[in-house]
Amino acid sequence: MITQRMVCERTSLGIEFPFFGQVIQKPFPLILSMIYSFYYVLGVFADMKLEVKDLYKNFGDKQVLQGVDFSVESGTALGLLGRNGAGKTTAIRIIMGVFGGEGEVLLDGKSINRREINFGYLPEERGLYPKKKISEQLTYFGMLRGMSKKNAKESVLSWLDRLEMTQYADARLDTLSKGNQQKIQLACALVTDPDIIILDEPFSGLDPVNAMLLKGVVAEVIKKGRILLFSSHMMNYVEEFCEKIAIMRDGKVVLEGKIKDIKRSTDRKKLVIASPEAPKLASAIGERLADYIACKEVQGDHVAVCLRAEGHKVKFISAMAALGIDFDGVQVFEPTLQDIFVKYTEV
Amino acid sequence: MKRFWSIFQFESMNYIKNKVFLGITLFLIVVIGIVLSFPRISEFFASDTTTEEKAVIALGGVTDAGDLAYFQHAMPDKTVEMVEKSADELKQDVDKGVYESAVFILEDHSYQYIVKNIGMYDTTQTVVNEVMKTRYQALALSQLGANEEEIAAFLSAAVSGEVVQTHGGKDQLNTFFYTYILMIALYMLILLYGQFVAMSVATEKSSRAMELLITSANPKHFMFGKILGAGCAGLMQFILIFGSAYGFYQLNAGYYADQPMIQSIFNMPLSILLYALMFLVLGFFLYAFLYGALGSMVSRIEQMNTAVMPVTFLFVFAFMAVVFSMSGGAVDSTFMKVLSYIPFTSPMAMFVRIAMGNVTALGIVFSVVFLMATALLVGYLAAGIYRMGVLMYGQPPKIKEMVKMLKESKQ
Repeated sequence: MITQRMVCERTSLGIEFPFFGQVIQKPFPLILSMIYSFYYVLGVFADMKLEVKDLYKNFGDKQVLQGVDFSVESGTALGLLGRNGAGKTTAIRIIMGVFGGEGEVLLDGKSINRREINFGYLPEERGLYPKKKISEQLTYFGMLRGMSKKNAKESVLSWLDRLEMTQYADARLDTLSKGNQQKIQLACALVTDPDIIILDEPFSGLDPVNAMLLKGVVAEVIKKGRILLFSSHMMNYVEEFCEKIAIMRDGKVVLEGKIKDIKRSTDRKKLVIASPEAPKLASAIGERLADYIACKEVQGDHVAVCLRAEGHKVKFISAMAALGIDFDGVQVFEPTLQDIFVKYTEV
Repeated sequence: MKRFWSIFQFESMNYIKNKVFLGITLFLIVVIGIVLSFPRISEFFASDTTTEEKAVIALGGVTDAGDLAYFQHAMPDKTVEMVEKSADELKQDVDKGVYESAVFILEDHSYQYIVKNIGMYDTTQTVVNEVMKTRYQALALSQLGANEEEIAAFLSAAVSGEVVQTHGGKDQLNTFFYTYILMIALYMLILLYGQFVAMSVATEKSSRAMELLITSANPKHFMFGKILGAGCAGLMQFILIFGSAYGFYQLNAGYYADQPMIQSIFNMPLSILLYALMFLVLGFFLYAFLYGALGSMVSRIEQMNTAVMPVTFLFVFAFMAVVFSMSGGAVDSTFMKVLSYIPFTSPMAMFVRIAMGNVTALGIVFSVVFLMATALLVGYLAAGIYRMGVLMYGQPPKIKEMVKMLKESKQ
């Protein structure tokens, strides 16, 4: 599969090409433009799919991975969740080829060729060279991942600018605050404009303004059609970015799917009714609609009820309206991602 | 290969741009420059000043007229004065500093040498002893009836001798100094730069930069790039220091015409220098691989010294063993022969045997091939350990676990 970025490399121009509203950085010959446009169109409509199939890994006698499966398409983010020690980092390292393991890592159905595919990684354990100049080390990391020195330097400057860090280009990393170091770490992950981006807790330790800035960047890379693996314990961010999640426990994926579907697949017999007269409504439901419900509970301005059967939902709401007690709305109760996480990872 | 080159460049630049590295190299060059130009500098300052007053040596006791001439002739750099004083008086004078020292002749064959401080290189007493001996021999000869001419001819009789060395033999006195200097350089560079490699790996690990590095390029490239980078920096320092020393010697060569020791150092055979370079490179690789692998085992910098200690001890042992054998002149002893074929000691032991002893060409080839093979094997194993070690945190693994890791790394 040829993506937009890979074509850039093959024509060895190494720059973001102008097209469909992107800004022209350098003029280039018409013929190249046409070839590029052709591939660009292909690239836009050609999605990549990263699949991890049946991964097993042992460290000595310890089985760290025991059959891990998940997949993620370009332009989407997968939330790779799990408690500490569930095997997320090991799975990530196998995907990146740090070490081998049993099982397959496929890109578009074929075994992944790590020489062609560029990874961007923000590890949970942050770390760069504390005593080195920021621009110097980011350029080095760009070069390590195959960029020319010139392209790496240009990319570093543009990322520092994007992350509002230009003034620190010549500063040593250890002179920066934790939040700013984090931004540099993100720049390091993205400097090569990678095809597959793996972010492990990218938002920890950031102030709200920086978090907002980083959120913008993450949203951008997803929009650009990159594959994003997102590992975090901050469920609000996972919900914000990830269409899909895979929850790992003891080296296995115990739940995988779209967040929306997972939430919908849970029992939908519980309703939450918002009402300014919640206690009055609750007692009225208890007295007159007891046939429909198995339980009820007042939670502030809300009344939570469990229906005896899902099919009672419409009848119950009509009957409740007939009670003549004011209510603002009725909603089927959906578990939060936090609830789902706890449910699947609790021992 | 492009990535390996980037790593190599980055690593070697880490040394070259380092202020301490530059400072030490420059400092050593300046010191060598000053030391080797010292005769020129001192001549420059001494040109206008009057010559220093000669130290005075008093001569007392049972003396006769000819003695003053004898002593003065034997000690041209001192002023010898004949005095009529007792031994006690001379002691007091020497104590007060009137004379530097005094010779009080008791009998024809016994004397007292009175002195306050005896310097480390003070040869006055030896000279006095010789003069007294000659004086006594002359006296004895004259008592036997020899005339003055006969006595003079007898005492100044010279023996002519010539040393004929067989082909390939070594003069250990001549070769000792340059071998010693090259040995020290070999020792310092391998130990220092080997430890730099370990330190660099441990720093990357403890700062967690490793996590990103290892996912950006092949771990083997990192290890070999790092070792080659350190090696090149070390070699550059070696060439700069020795090159500048040679340059300063050439500038001041005229001042060293009568100093065979200095001349022997700077006129060492080219082959010896090349052997030193070869053993430096091979020895460095062997030890740097060990240091790199051990550096990858530790989680924090503080653990590094303990982790690399066995290798450092091994190398220090090799150095001590070779230096003691060198100083004792036993460079071809059975012990040294064994050491010169063990790869961990051969870079120094075989080098010293080549420079100062007798070793066959086949012996050299065998030792070098064995060293190369071991370095390659250790490099291969170290790369495996490094690959697994860099991602391990916590207690450094035991040897048994390391073997297991190696097996796993091949999967």
